[in-house]
Amino acid sequence: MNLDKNAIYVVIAAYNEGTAIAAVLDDLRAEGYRNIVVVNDGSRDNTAETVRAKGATVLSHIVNLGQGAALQTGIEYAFQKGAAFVATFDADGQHSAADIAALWSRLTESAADIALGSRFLGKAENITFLKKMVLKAGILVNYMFTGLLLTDAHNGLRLLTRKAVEEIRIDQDGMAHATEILENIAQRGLKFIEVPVTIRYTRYSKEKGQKLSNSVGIFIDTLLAKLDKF
Amino acid sequence: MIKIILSSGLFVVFLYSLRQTQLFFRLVMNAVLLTGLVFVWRPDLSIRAANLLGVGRGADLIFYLWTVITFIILIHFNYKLKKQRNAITEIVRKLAIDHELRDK
Repeated sequence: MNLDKNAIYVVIAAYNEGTAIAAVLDDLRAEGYRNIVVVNDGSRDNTAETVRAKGATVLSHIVNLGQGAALQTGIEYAFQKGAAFVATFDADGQHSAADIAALWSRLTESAADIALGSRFLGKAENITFLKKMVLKAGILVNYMFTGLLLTDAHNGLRLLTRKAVEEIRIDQDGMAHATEILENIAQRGLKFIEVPVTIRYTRYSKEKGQKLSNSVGIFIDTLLAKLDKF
Repeated sequence: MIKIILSSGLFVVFLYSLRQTQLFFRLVMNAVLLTGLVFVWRPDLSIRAANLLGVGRGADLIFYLWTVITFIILIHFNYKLKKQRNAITEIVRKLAIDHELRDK
């Protein structure tokens, strides 16, 4: 099977990413992706205008809900538009558009339902020691919650087949959605594969990105979600 | 005097409990209120109940029970808040998608 980039919808959740989003869209377009859906999650800057000027689709949340909610919105839209594959991609320039093709290749070769990017199989440029340790700890915490032992449990670069989109539902509005996606994979018996990708930590993405203390919030949100199901 | 004040407070909570739609929570609330009312007018019974449960004083028993009840209430409110939050998310999502589909 040859890669048809028009069959892939790239979904990006963006909150006040007016500074970085243009370069991200340029990167995706340069790789040949035309179906780019940016979910403007209640931004207070020029994110929506920048995206429109670049010719990508904008879905605007009238209030900020969180990355999980924004991704689910974009994924539902892509599904309604008939996407064969949906890629989730970060808005802060940490991801490389060239990696989507790698995800697709491994996904289709292995007949998996979802391909998960792994910076620890690939590259994590300029990652700090502390961030690395927190991410490694996250792998163990994720294993406790999902039973899945991954090399990178908190990577926003993923490629889902249409089947995976139908099976996965993100109810966690905030950052705990990453664990929730993996829980869905485990509970629904979806076949997944980890693929080496590159994560670039720039000064912008480090300042804008998640604080390490957010990890505690993610842990609590995931635990509370488990109790809710009780 | 304090018994009248406490009983009045419990009666107000009873009126609130009538607005609970879920029968289970109404029954639980009424059971707690009734127990509270009994302990207000017969504090000796709270001492006997405390001793039966291995607690020294009636007031201590009431404090412990109230702590547990508070946790249950907080968990219940968290659940309600989550439901409301989910509803808001669905509304915001539908607005975002419908707006884009309409424009296209």
